[in-house]
Amino acid sequence: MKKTLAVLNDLKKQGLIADYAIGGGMGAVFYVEPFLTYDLDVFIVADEPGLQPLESLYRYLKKRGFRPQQEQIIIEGIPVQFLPAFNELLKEAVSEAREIVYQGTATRVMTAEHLAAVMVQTGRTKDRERFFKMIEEAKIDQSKLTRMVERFGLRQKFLQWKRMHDEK
Amino acid sequence: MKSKAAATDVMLAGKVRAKSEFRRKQAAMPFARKVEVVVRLQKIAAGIGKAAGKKPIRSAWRIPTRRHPA
Repeated sequence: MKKTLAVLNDLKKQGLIADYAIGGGMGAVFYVEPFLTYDLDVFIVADEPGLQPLESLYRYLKKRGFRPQQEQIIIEGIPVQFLPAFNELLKEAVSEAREIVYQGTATRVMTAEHLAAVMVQTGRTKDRERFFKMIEEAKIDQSKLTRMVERFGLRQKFLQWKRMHDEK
Repeated sequence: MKSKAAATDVMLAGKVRAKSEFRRKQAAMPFARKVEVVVRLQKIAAGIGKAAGKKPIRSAWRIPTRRHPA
């Protein structure tokens, strides 16, 4: 994992990406009790917006000997899925991500509020389960999250999920 | 004397409290430790799949793919 994070930092240093943040299941694990998840979801903001922001990234990583496998690329033994930040919420989640240190290597993880909002936006069953976990276990700034879901037009779904959680 | 139902309620409430306390403790673990737990869970999941005669999970971390061809 440490080596994988070093490669991610290198991508930024090389100018292949402007910034990145860990999100998805592993991002959530940072805030809640560990659960089963298979890959490392890395949301990226490209330096130059293009139609294929992952192309140069994959080319560089393949040159370094990392092989793609389905929708992921195996970096130092860990399947990493790169996802371009394709909407305003994800872009903000990347730019406002928390800087953390993992075994001496600096990295970036989405804030708990951004992760929860992204879960509401994505809206799959597993996102709802993770959202419930976040509500119960993560230290979430409720007013920040409420403002965020309103700003990104997610208020209705957020309230619906909160109601479902409270009735559980 | 408490009824059997009341005693069960107290016991269940205790269990729920203990479980949520345990979860909060788990959530407060350092990230590196949590990642170790996730890797262990992946290995268990891969093992269960194998025992059930299914293909092992290819993407499970640190599981050599050469020994588990897809």
